[in-house]
Amino acid sequence: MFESCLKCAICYENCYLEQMGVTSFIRLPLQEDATNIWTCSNCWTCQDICPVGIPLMELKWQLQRKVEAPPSYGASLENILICGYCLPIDSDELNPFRLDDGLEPVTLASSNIIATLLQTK
Amino acid sequence: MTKEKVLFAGCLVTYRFPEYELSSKVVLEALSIETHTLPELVCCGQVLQGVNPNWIYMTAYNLALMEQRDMDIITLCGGCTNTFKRVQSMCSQNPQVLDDINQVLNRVGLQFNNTVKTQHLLEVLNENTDKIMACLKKVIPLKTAIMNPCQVFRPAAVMNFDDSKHPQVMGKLLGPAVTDIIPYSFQDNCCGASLSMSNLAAAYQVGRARLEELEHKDVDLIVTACGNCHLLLHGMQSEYYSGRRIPCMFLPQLLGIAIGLSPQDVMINDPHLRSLVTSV
Ligand code: SF4
Ligand code: SF4
Repeated sequence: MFESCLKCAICYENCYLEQMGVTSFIRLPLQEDATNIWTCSNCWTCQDICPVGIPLMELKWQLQRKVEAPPSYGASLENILICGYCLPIDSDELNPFRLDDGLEPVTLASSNIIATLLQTK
Repeated sequence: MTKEKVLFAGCLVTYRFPEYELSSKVVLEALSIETHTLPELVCCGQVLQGVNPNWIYMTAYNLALMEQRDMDIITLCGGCTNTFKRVQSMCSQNPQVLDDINQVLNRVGLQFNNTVKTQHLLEVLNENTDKIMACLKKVIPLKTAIMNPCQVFRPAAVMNFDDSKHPQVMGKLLGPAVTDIIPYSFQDNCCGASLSMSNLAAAYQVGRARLEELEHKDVDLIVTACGNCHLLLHGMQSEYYSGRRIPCMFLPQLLGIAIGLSPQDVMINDPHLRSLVTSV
């Protein structure tokens, strides 16, 4: 996976989390073990700075998809399957406020569409 | 003729921050850019990248829906901007990706041709800088700190906007509108908000470090341009920070005041924030 990695640690040195003493996903190219793969805020600094262009973010997501996600991701997926959004948006509840504020109403997509897109059925 | 625009608010702004959507809408209107929302839009897919390999079809579905109406896209959060532009870039670099996407989209009666244009609010405002400067009515006496939405700028090759390591656009837009933009050491770092889904302690640590520095620098206001940054710095501030409360505002709210809109127009409802921007 990291065949062309130079082990130069430039990615690691430039991760703002590591700079603050937080162990982040970016230890991975150096240690090649998958601890802390969820501690990353997708700021893309490491990938942008890698001198050989390793697709660090894509590799991270591939690894994440092989393991169990933290519970909040499961909750997001559940919400998406119900209303299309990762937060529990109820258009009947929300739209009176939106109209009051001067915003156009929200119309949710059908859950069949979402299920087809995520191929969960 | 310029195309009509969709203001794509996404999950968090729709759910939690109508003031960001509304203030963007009215500031864009003041620049003669009319925006709409569209029925049946869904999550941009950002949050699913590490969870479901089919996230890309959600992103493409949104893009196709907006393309079908012949409308371009203005995004408000870093994450939505990033996923839209990346999927568009994947499609233009690899026709196979576009084919795969269309096989799935055809099942919901859609087709995507990758002809739609996605821009974050900051890009649109940046293109209209001259117009904005000509509309400025006052200088707001606030020591202001900027929170850059990092996913609008990186990966640089795809996002292709501003200086990806040291973004300048927010300072450029707000510089003439406030008395002081206060530089600080964390300015170019990610807000850390998305860590709240996986490592709350780390999210709090990142937020706290920023606020401590800004309190020390005696900053009056933090200006954001992404729902996620705003969530951590404003919405969750009291959960991890016990120092002096530092108010946060979305960039179009502050810019709206500077071009002569009222606090009601840009939905500044909090009495303290109102007094901050009207004490001119
Ligand atoms: S993308 Fe993640 S690992 Fe890379 S620099 Fe940013 S926070 Fe660190
Ligand atoms: S910057 Fe790139 S080449 Fe260097 S250690 Fe990180 S992944 Fe490997």
